[in-house]
Amino acid sequence: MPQHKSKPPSASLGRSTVPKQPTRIAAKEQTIEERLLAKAKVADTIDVMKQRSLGQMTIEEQCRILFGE
Amino acid sequence: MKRQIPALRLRLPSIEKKPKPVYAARWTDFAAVSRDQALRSELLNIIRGIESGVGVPEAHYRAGIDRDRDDLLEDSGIMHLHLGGKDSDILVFLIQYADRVVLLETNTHVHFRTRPAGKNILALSQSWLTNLEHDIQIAAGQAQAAVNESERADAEAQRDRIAASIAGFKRKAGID
Repeated sequence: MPQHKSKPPSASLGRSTVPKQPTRIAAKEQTIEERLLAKAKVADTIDVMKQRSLGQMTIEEQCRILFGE
Repeated sequence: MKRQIPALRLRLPSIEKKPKPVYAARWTDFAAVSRDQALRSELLNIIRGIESGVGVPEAHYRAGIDRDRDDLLEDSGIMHLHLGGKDSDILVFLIQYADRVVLLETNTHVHFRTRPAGKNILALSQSWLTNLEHDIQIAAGQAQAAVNESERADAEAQRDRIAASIAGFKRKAGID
């Protein structure tokens, strides 16, 4: 007996049949990426607290920080 | 609603004359001081003065320091110094703590025109400042605990010395 294959509802309406699974994965990956970014930010703020004071730097280093050169 | 300002931000009208390391964690040069050699030198000189404990030259403090209220300093603990003369519109915003100074940004008097004053200062909404102040607070707590412990040990030693002295006196006097 031939098996009956039902079309997905979206196909019957003429919509594109984009599989849902990859979309969910992409959303999950983005969340992980955001979490990694957040972690990096935390690490960054901790580094700020450990940095040397301006007086411990050379004039060149001071200028790089203060004047962006 | 008034913001909660950490007590550890000093609200002194001037920089204390004792050596304090200066940090520029998330510094932004909004006033483009970098483009003016004279202003750059003034800023570097201010940093040297704070780090060495000499203090900041009088010319960098605001004109009405002895008579006018500084809303930004008193409400938010943010101090400013002038570059290019007392009445200039080029300011360095910073926070003075007991053991360090943190530079925030250069800008004009724009932060005095907001209500509350300084509400647009970037650092006030950034996590690094909150983390830094949290770190300072923990360090201060640990230092205080160490002092308390040391004082307690000193007091106990003193008590033991007095007790031994009294016991010796009683022995000599034939009491007991």
